[in-house]
Amino acid sequence: MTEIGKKPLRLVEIQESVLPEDEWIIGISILDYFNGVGYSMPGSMRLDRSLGQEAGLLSGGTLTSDLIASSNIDDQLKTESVGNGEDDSLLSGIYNHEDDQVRASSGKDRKGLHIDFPQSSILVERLLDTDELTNLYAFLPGIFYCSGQQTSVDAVLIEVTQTQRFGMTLSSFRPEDVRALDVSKGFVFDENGGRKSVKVTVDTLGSFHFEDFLKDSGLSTEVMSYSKEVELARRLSSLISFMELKKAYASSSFLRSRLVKLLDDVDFFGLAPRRRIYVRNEKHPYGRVVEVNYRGFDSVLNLGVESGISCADEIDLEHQLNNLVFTKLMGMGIETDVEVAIMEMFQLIETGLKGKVSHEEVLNTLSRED
Amino acid sequence: MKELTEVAKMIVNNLHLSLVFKTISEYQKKDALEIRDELGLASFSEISTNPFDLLEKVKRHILTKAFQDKEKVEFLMTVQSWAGFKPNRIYLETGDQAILAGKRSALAILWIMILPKIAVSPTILPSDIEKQGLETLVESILLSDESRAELNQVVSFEMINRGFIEEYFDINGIESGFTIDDSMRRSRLRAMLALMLMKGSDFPFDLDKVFNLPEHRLIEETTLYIMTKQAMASLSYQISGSGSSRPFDWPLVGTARVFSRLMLTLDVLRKFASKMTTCSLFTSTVQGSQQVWTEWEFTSYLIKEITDYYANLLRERSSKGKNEELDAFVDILKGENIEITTSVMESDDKALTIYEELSDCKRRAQIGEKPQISPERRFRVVLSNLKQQLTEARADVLAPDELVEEIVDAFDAITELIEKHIDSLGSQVDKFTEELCFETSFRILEILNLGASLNNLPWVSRFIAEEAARTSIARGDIESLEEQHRMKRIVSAFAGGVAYLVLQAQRKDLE
Repeated sequence: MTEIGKKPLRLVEIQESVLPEDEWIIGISILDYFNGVGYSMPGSMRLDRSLGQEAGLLSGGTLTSDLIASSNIDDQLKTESVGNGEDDSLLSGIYNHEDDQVRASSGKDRKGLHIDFPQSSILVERLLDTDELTNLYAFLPGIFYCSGQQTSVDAVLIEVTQTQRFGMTLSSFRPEDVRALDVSKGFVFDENGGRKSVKVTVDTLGSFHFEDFLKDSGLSTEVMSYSKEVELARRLSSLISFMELKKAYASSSFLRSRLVKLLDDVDFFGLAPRRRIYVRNEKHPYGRVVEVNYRGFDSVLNLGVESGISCADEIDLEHQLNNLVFTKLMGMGIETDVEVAIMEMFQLIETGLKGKVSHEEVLNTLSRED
Repeated sequence: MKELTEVAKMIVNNLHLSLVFKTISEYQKKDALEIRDELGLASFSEISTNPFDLLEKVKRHILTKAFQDKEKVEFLMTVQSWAGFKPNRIYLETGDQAILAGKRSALAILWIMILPKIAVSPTILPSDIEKQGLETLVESILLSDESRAELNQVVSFEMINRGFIEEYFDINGIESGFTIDDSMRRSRLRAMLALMLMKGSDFPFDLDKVFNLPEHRLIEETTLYIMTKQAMASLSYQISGSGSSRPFDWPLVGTARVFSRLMLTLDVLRKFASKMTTCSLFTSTVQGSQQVWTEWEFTSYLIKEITDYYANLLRERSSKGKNEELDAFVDILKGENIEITTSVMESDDKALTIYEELSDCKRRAQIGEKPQISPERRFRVVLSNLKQQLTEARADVLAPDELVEEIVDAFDAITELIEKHIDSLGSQVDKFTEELCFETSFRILEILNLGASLNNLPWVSRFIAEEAARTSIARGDIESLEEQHRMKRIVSAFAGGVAYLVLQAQRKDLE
């Protein structure tokens, strides 16, 4: 465990649009953990697991096919599937109140020592079968701030869906959109107009403006033969080298406004789990922050034996989350799940920041050169 | 076949056409002390400097002076070691020796490099290129020390006759400062000289294939490079014209006579180019296998060259106000290259047909017609144009403005394509635009060997878009940021990102 403390904390940015007004997510994470972004195992792996469980049920002597055919169970399922198709917070609220039985049953952990109720188990299995996990999930634990929801989360989880349009594959997630930001050096102008590299601190954040460069060059609308962006790029390419552009980005006012949100959040909420996850999947194509509970984490406090994530708002999501398996590449390369990864990440971030949460301390750690 | 003396006469005759010769002449007169002075090398620093480093420094200095092309200089600096030559450390004892050896080697390289350009008179008929004794010249350069000594003597003699008293011709200096095992020397020296001649012809070549050629084939191949170069020069000379006769000076579109000459030159070019086996410029990959261009492709190439000429004209004139007719004309030529080529190939009188096709395009441009192609086709055409432009331009780097223009063309095609399908895309417009831009950017970066910088594209694009948006806001031009412009702004952002990455990489290459 000693080497983990040395793993560098990174400022990570997830941007899927190139337009400035669109959503962004910025956070603190350790990309070594999954060697980039974690991808869930493909569906076939999971299938084996559920087969094993089915066999266990059969040996218990319950005829599952009969139970599914019986009317009252069927009704339950229909209510569920209506709720499933709608992306409406009001509807999901109604559904949650009515469906106590399902919630109670799904709350059970199947690993620990406990009494299993066969019927509810079948319900759960059935539920699982109806939303078969066919897509990969991209997963990155860490403290992230989401601009869309204006709140911080413990992890980002994106279902990788692909659709075809006119021969193009539209993918919901591109690895290139996630990047570790190098904020070790920024870029400012001194009094004489010369450029110099500086260490990024709270004071030098956001001190860079392109106008300082371009105000004399007369980037006016009249003389442009191309779009503003191309014209800007053309001029920039002769003035700022790529290495300098990285630094300029680190000290740009746009990054500053994002970074400050994140730093404020860390300063205010500290390094405890937020109990929220950013999820984007077929049901929530524009992303949603979901409230969750970490049973494993809580059971340490109340001496329970349960583990796994629970999310009260979306019962089907809870199953999906608990079924996701990722291969952790840091250390020994073992398999891990959403909850364990989030908990480990928090521990690593706490070690990395040495528990300090002030703006200066956090920025200092993130901008340390290694 | 002409005698060596006649070839030598031709070379000396054309010396005034070469700018590089000015560099040769300048440095032939300079002694070690002057070069030392120029490079700011103090003699006391000698002990700490390795003589061979000094040699390389002088050599690089002279080569850079002659060619502003970094890629070329880099090639010439390393070609000796590729061929197996090693620094001769025993021979280089003092700093002055090293400086003079560097100078001698650099000047010999410069001589070799200008020979493909000046060995044939620029006014010669293309069909006569073959008869200019180029093979004799190449043979005497590649064959042996004796043949090279003879060439030195003959050309130097001719120079004295023509009044070049202070300059001299010397290509033996090419090895100066280097050494190689005697058993390999002859073949390696031959290959190295051939490579330099090929480089001097500005065509890309496959290094391994060149090294594997037997002697007579190597002489033949190198001669083909020079002859192809000459045919191509003749072609572009005919297109651009000179003095009062500029057949393609808009609104002129040539004449049937001009085109019949061009078609003849094209045939000559095809004859030479299709025999080359180590050059990739005139081949295309069909279903994974390399195939030499057919007549169809050469015709398409001619139309493209003419189109490029007009595009350059458009750029030059753009400072004097927009020329919409010419702009439309270039667009039509670019977009309908395939159609024009096909109709030319189907006719009996090719020269006449190509003239008629161009006249027709001109007429359509003047009434403001747009090229008759669907956005999808246009998109493909733009991409293949770009690819051809870039692979061709490898040797001499494309001007930044041209590069930006090609990139903007590609992204404009995206905008057109999406506007046409905007209704059926519905809510997926943004996503589709992004994906298409990303894909296109990737292809552009790949063509330019910058595939690895794709990772940086999203943030560079967004950064540029942010800064552009900021200038808009600062100017109070908020309107352009509205929702309905989203698609165009996404395209512009990617175009900006790609433009920055490409221009930056190019700039880095030049430094």
